[in-house]
Amino acid sequence: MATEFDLEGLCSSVLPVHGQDALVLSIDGRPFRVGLTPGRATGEVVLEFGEERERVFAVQRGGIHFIHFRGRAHRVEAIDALARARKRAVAESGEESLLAPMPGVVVRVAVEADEEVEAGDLLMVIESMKLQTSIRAPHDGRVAEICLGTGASFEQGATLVRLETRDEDSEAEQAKERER
Amino acid sequence: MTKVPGIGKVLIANRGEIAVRVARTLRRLEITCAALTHPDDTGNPAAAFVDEACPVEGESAISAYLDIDQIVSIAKRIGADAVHPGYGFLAENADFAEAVERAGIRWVGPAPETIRLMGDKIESRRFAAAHGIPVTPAASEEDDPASFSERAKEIGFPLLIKAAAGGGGKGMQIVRHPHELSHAIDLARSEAKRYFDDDRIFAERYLDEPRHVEVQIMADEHGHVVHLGERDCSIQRRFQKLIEESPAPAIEEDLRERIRAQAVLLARAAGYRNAGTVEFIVAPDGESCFLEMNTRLQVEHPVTEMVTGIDLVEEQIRVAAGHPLSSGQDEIRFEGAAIECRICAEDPERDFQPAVGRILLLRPAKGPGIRFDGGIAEGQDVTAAFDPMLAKLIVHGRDREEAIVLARQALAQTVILGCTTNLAFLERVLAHPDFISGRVETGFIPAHRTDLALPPLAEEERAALLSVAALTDRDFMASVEAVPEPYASMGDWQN
Amino acid sequence: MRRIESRIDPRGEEFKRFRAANLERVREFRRRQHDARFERRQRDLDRLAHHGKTFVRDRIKQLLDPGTPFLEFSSLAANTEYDGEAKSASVVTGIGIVAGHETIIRADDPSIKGGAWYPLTVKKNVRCLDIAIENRLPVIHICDSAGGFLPLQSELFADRISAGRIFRNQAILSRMDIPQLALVFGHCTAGGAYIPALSDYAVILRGNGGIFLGGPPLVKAATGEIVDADTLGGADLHTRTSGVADYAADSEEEAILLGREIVSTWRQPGKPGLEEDPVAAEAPYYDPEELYGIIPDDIKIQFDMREVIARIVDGSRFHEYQPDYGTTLVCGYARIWGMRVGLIGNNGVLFNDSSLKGAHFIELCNQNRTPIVFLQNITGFMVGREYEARGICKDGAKFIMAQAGSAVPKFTVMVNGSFGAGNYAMCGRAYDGRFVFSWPNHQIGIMGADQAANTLADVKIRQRERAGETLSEDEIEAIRRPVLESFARESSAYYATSHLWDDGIIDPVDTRNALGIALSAAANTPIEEPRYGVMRF
Repeated sequence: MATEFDLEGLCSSVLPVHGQDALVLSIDGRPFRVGLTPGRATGEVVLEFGEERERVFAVQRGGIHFIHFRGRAHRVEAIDALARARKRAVAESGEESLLAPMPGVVVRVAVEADEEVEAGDLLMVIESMKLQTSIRAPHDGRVAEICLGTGASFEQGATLVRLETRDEDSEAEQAKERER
Repeated sequence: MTKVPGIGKVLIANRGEIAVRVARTLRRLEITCAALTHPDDTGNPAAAFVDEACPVEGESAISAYLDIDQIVSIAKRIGADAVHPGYGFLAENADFAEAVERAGIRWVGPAPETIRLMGDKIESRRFAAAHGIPVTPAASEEDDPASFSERAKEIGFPLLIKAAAGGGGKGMQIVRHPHELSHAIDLARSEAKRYFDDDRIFAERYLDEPRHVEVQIMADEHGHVVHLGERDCSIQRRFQKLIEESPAPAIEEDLRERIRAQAVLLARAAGYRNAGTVEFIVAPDGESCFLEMNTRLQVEHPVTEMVTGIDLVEEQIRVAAGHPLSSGQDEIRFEGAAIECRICAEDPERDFQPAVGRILLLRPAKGPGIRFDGGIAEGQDVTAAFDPMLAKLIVHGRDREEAIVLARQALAQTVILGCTTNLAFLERVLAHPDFISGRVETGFIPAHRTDLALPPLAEEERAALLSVAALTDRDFMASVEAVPEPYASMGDWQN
Repeated sequence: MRRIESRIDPRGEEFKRFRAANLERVREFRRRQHDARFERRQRDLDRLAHHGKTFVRDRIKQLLDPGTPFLEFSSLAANTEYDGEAKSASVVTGIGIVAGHETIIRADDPSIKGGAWYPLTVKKNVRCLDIAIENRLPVIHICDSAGGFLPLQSELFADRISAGRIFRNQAILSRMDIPQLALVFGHCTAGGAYIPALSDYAVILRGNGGIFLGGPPLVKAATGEIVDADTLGGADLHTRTSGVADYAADSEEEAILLGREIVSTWRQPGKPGLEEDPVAAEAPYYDPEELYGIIPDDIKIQFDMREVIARIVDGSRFHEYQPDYGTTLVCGYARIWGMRVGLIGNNGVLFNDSSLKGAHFIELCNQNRTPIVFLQNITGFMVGREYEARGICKDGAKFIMAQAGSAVPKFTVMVNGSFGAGNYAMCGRAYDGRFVFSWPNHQIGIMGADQAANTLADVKIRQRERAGETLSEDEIEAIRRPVLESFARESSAYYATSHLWDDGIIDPVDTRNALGIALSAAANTPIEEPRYGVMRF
């Protein structure tokens, strides 16, 4: 469940407060009595916020909420805490080895050592049991080492490529947290 | 028979907002309208709006929309009587105009030679100067490449290095100090080459705090030339216009009359036909210089339409069909004030970088005096492939004050969700005291950067927004509702 | 149903005196509980921090759905044993909501002797898995234990309710299609290795997590092989090679979030023990805080159990059964958090009529599939010639027979005293009630401390008299005092809870919530056909 939302680059914790007569959200530790009812138009909702009622337009796509509120559009991102925890772990370790999923032979090396790569970039093509598999970067980073050259054969679990991760994101996040 | 004899079908050689805008008039004139489509251009609302969507082939949508031979053959195939180029793409391409005319189809625009003349920034300045219209001190590289940099220095700083074939702010560099000159020349030249495939450049005096004022003219083949008033387009970012208005605020009447007259004079001298815009730079002391002439319909033409009540596209079609202008100068009335805001997919907080996304919700402002010329539809992807302009919001008030209030309300009412836009930024510009008092100039936005910055959200507003997000978040609400009784009612009790 | 009319005067002197005494009892309970939960040696906390481990209670908090309750069991288990070292018996157990699922959480506490299992740790673990089985609750294990506490291995290994029972219970749970998830945050050595291995899902932490039958020192001793813990049984080995665990995680946060996601994929099997259309809960009309002024400061003082019922049940509303018969036993129906219950409470010693009333009411609850809450304050059955002649034994036997044969879920609250055979009839620990909770003032024993001391002293005096001796007052006191002291100690609520005779001491005001969660959990299991043994008439 998303309990953190990013608005204008700042993360806020939003937690339900159960056991109340109405829906109460604890936003960064402050309780707010809230409610939402559908409005008349598509995408329109009526926000009950404390004593106030306001017409708001809200749509979402892929965990991002676009909200038109008091004449201004805003973007609120629901944080996927699990994805963030994984990203942090990779960023902290600073390095990740891409292991061979099965024994095989290197067909092609698509990058060079020291090259900056983005998540999804092709690093290497391997062949095993007459099937070729693309080894792609799981996240942004720098190629620290290409452990095997074209034509080299390897066992399952062999290190194919070592990636150094860029941890700008986590640094930026930490900086944000410090700011808060 | 359509309402314009001789024109039964028009191919709009364009896409998006302008294609829709042109088609709207054509429809009113009972003229069949056709426009271009490309498989990659999925978010083109014109494709569904026009009577006939004509697929063009090409590796990318952009290259297809620039493919003169193909577009002309399409126009021939569908039996178009005229081609309207809109703005952008091939609108100021003399070769295209020529090819259209050669195919026996009417070109909605000036003669190819006029396009060529005005399209060359160096030639057009010479032409204007020759007809007694002041131009800024300038130096052209091609006159004598060896002495270009020396001659540029003689103009004095700050100066502007521009592409001879330029437009739209591309290939333009401001130079404030002599030591920056050579670098700026190199940069401008390479950009000019890249954007216009023409690396000729020239230097021109850059006026500090200049205003950009332009005059709309309309001419027919029968020797009639009229102006439809001027527009102030000083509110710009990255040399591109953002807010335009008519009439130009806070200028002396003699200046207004002077530039209007100069625009008509220039058009007449050039044997101009159809719609055109003569752009001037106005210095704080009221001096004006000819900048360039645009040989097409301008993005900001609606403000002129609002204050004059004249449909410029209709006039264009009539003129292209060989009919005389519908009004003489004396019959043209200017009423109230109109403001246009360009709604762009861009992030004003990040130096106006283009934004991408998908239009998930679109609710244009509506009401008397409000016009929304949109080039977007719900569900449309906004990509970096096309111009970031999504729509134009134009308002018409009895006076400027009323127009500003109306524009601000309309901007706040306009809902575009799914992609970052400059809607709120536009509203802040309109609310700025200097804008309200008409103290505008092309450096307005950088000069008021601090005032125009995104104001921080109040804590309550932040909480309200986060509440909306949480309450409309499927996962969040599912998790809240998944807590069974009696647990939910107990809250975070612990024994 | 009508509201109970309370006869308590909250402004009265007695109320104030009782209230002061009970608030002091609750303060003492909370002090001890806080110590068991949070007070740790700095050395232990430093070691935890050094390994990047989160405190067990924070792990649980992260695992639970935000803003939801947690009913912890036996927070003072082992508090009177092992010099008080094994706080909460080194393991935290309880019921909470994880991703909308009612689950048992069983979390080792590595801040105490590395989470080593003492004999009472094993007993608490077994009990918590019994609760899971009886109430069909999924279990999430947070594994971080050094293994059995070797100096006491004889007390925790071989018997029926010993370590093996933990793994047996895990297997039974799986057989019942009740899922278990293990989050391996530390080492699971020897028997402990079976917890993740017997769990249906296992997440193991890179670095701190390890699963092996024999740890590196044992391996070296046994075979001479020198191997580090990570190579021997780390996350990558188990998730890539051995298949002992299913997912590797790089941080406790990641593992917990992943665990929550796993739980979210589990089905919600429904509650066969509850009515289709739930009735909305209603807070008691009388403030539960007034319980403090109702329970006397002396165990010998009688009080009306209806006053307690009025501060636990919905709207303080109660339908009393046989209000004029067998009046030392209060029986009737009410709702707790909207759920139907029958309540049986003591209003004095059990006579023949009150025993028969109790047996009859239990049968009615079974007929109606109504769970029963026993509120114990019992000194026992009436003794004396007249009552023996009327067959108090066979009437008491009927009560016990009906109670023991009852098929509906049973819950016991030790409201005050629990002595003698009254403990049996009123569903003491031996009768497999789903949950037993005690109040801090609770006392329990085969008889009262005074009676026991007097009885033992009498025996001694008679022995001496037969030997021709007479005992002085001082000598009699010297016999009485140690008996009295040992009885007093062993009959206290703290001793009882230390030995897992209950599922924890609770603050009286928490009774309603504790029963609410208990009733909800119990409703996961379908109620069988009731069937009783032979009643002696």
